[in-house]
Amino acid sequence: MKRMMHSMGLALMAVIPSFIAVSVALAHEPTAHVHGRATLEVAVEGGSVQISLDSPLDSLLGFEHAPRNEKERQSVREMSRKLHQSDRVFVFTPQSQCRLDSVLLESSVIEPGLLAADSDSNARKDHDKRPVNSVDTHSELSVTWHFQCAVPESLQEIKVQLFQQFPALKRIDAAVVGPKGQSRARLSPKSNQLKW
Amino acid sequence: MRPLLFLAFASAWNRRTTLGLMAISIALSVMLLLGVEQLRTQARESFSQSISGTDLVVGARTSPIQLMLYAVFRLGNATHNIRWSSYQNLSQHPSVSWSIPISLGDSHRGFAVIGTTTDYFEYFRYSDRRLLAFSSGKPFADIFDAVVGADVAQQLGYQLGDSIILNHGAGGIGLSDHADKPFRVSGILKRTGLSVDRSVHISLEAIEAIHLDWQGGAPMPGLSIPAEYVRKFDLVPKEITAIFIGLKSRAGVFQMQRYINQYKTEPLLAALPGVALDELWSIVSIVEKSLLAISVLVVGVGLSGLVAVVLAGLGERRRELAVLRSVGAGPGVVFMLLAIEGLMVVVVGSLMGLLGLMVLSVFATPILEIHLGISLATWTLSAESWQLLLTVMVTGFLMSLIPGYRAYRISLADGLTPRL
Repeated sequence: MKRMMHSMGLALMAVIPSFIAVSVALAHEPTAHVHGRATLEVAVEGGSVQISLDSPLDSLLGFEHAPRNEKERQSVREMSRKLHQSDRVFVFTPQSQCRLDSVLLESSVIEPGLLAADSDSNARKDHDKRPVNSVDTHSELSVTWHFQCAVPESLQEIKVQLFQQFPALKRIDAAVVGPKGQSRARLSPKSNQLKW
Repeated sequence: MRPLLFLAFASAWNRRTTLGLMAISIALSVMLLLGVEQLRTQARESFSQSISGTDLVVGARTSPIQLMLYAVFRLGNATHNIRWSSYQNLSQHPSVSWSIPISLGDSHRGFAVIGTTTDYFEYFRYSDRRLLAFSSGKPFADIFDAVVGADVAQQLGYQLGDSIILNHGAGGIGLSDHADKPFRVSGILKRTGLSVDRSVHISLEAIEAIHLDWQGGAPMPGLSIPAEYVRKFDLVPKEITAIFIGLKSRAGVFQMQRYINQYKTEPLLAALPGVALDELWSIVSIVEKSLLAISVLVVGVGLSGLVAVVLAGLGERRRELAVLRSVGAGPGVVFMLLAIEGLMVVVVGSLMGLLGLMVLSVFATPILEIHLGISLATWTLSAESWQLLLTVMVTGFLMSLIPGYRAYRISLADGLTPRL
């Protein structure tokens, strides 16, 4: 009996990785990947504002692979630092008193340590870690910001300043779900305001 | 001022044919301009209102715009259907508040037949979260019950309890119908101004039932299952066309969208209706803008024509102006006279155009509703339209100052004895 349990356990262990592989493959379905273009999803409900950015790494970083030398690692840290400084990236209606709750940066080719808020200290620890996925194809960065607003009623618009921070970014297709329903906006360096 | 107005009117009345024709040409150009503007704004409104209460529309994987067009506005056709099991799974997802399955494909004398569940009457919301209401009757309870929209009932003269026969496919000559399984009108919906008015709603089981003895899109020869026996069959639908979903939290819509778009067992597409519509408008905006530009040009042509006619008429009116001068009218009065005349023609032309547009839209509304599902509000004008109308009048007035100035110059130079 015990032996049978053991062999079943082995069989299960053999099967599990294939499940994981399937779910990973599905999670990264091929989506449109155009350098210079990013998508932004803005959801406003009550006092909480969630903003998700999906962008080709190239538009934010200039390359799309795991950093190979100290210089590239430095640019990753630089990018991560810019994205963590949310008040430089998004400007809310001042009266709404929105404050940053959390930021999460994710990419399939860059180790999470480099993308964390205090990347300088973490980076050394993770230095020898194998990158998550080192295949040299197109890859993306997704960022999720959470904000809490004290006076959500007065939140009328969000100015998106990603263009100033990342000049390679030329266009952002934004979808907004807000108090007045769903809408879509195409942002560019010249028109960078989301209104509802 | 009063005698001046009278004088201007009397003088214009003397030349009523030419000026009347000018007013008509201005009326036509104003009609075109306002018509384009009305169509543009009302089409948008009508489209966005019909789906304003729905968070997600789910269908087979295609473009979000196409999904919206066929599932919500019944324009164009579905590329694929989706499995019933997908609907069942999605409707039980914890963040889903309500979900309405939709099955399209059949018709009734040109009106779309929608297979759905009673959830449709309970949850479907339009223009600022209004629910569908019955003007008489109730939702379908029996398999062969049908709920008809306000337009269907009105145009075909249906009452509660009437028997109706559905057509297979889009209907028309050569296409078979479901004459062996008549439906009974169990409810009539109140008018909404949306495509719902032009639809016949039956249950999903009824859609299965009327196609039981069909195969490959035609009735099977030699096999006919009478209506009274269909209840013995398994009438659970196998596939549907689309699902409307309302979420518990509006903000969770992106997460749900991602979940559906990466649905494992079947390729599905979840579209945010508001976003998809905005996308559609951004595509058609170039057409709208060029239409608007053309109609602005036509108005320009109309107003220039007015100026040309009044200017050309000045030659003939030298004697008239000289007489006015002789009885004591100064050059300023002459100038005012011409300006008033221009303004009069422009205002009369614009009002005629407005009236013409309203009369035209009374006739055009049913046609637009049938073909595009757009309902026009006939007697209301958007703020932008009023603005356009005002701009036309002001521009017309300013342009009629040109002949006024010319008349002023002439009357100064000619004095009392014009050389004709």
